[in-house]
Amino acid sequence: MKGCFQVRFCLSGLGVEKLLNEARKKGILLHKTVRQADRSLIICCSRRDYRAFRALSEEKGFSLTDAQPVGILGMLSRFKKRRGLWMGMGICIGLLIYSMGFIWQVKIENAGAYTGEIRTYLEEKGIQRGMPRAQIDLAALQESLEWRLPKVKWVQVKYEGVMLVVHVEEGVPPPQVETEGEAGDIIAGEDGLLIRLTAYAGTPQAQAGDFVRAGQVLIKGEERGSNGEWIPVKARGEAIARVWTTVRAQASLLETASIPSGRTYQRPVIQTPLFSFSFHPLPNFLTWDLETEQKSIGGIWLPLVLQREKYLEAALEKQPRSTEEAKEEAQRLAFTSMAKVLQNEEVVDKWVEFSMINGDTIVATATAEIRRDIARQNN
Amino acid sequence: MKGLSFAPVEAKLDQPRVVLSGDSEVLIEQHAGLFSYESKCVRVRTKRGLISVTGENLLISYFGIQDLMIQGHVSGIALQGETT
Repeated sequence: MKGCFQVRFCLSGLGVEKLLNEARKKGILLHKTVRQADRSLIICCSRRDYRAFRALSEEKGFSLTDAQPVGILGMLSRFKKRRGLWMGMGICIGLLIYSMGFIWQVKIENAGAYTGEIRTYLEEKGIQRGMPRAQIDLAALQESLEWRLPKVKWVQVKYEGVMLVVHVEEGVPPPQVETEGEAGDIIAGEDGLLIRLTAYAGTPQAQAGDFVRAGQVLIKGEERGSNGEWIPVKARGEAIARVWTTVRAQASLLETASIPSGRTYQRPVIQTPLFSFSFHPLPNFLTWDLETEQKSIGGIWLPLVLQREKYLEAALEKQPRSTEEAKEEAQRLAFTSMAKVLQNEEVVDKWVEFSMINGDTIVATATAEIRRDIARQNN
Repeated sequence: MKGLSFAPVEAKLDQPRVVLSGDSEVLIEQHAGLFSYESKCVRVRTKRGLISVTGENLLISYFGIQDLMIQGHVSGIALQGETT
C-alpha cells in the first residue's frame, strides 16, 4: 500500500541538491529521484512528506510543478469527474450483491442412482435456478431428503457461493450372509500354527497364534441374528498357517565293488545290424567285467563288425564309503523328493537332519516350513 | 578507538559504508548529503570524502537521513579525499 499514496512532482531551481540535503535534515524521505534536466528533478514521495517538501521548497525559492498522485489513488483521481462511471460501478456492485441472494446453480454430488430422484424432489419443492435463497430452509430440506432416501448414510445441503449443493453419502450395504448350500463348519485340514484367520461367514473359533490340530473347527457354521438367535450358515473363510512337511531319504554307507580275480577269457563276435553271433561260448565265470574292441570288416556297403570281447573274472564285494559322500547323496535325494511334493507352495524355510541306522545306512530327514491355507469345508 | 580496533568499520561512528549489488544498485550508508547529481555521475558527501558513483541512467531510488540508494547501470565507484 506504500505505493498507493505517493505523489510525483517536478522540482526546479538552482542547486536542487542543496534542497534535497535540507529535506534530508528535516526527515523528509524521497523515492525515485530522477534527473530530468540540469535544474530539475522528478521526485516521488509520500503525501505527508510532499506537504513538508512543498513548504520547504517555497521557503527556499524552488518551484514544484506537475504534482500528481501515483498508484491506485492516482488512477482513481483521474476518474474523479466522471460521475457516470462511478454511478455505473455502484449500480453494478449493487446488482452483484442483489444477485447473490439467489440460487444460480443446483449441484447434486455423489448421489449415484439417487441423482434423478433428488432432482425430481427438488423440482417438486420448487427449488430451481433463480430462486431466492431466503425461501429455502436448508435444515428442513436436508431432513426431508434423509427421510426420503433411507438407504443413504447422510445428506448435506449447503450453499457454495450462488450454488446450492446437495451432497449425499451412500450407506454401505450390510454383508450378505452366505446361506447357499448346507450349513457347515470350516476345519483345519492339517496341523499348523495359525498366522491369520479370516471369517467371511460363520463365527471364528480360533485366532492367530493358536496351534491347531487337523480336524479342529476353525470357523463354526453359525451366526447370531438380529434377535440374538443363532442362524446356521455355511462357514466361509481363510486360515493361513505355518505347517511343516517332512520327507526322508536314505543312502548306504557301503558300496559294491568288483574285485578282479586275474582269470580272463577272450572271444571274437561278428555283429550285423540285425543280430550278432560267435563261434565261441560265453565264459563260465559267475561275474565278470567286459572290455570290447570293434573293427569294421565290410565297409559301408556291408555293415559287418568284428568285436573282440575280453572277459575279466571279478568278485563283487561290499566296501565302506565316505560318510560325507553318503550324507550328500541322502540330502540330495530328500530335497529332490520334497521339491516334487511341494510344487507351487510358499516355502518359508527348510533344513535337513541326519541319523544312522544299523551302522551302515544314513537317513536324511528334510523338513520344510510352508505357509498355506489349511481351511477345509466340513459338511 | 583503541579499544575498538578489532571492530568492523561500520561499527565505528560516522564511517560511510558502500554496498554494491551487482552493477545495478549502490547503497551508501552514513552519508552527509548529496553533492551533485547527474544521470551519469552521482557524488555523495561523507566524513571520509566524496564518493563518486559513475554509470548510465543513474537515479536515486531512496534518499533518507542516513542512507541513500542509487540505481542504474553502475560502472565505477571512487572515494575522492577528505572534504571540509
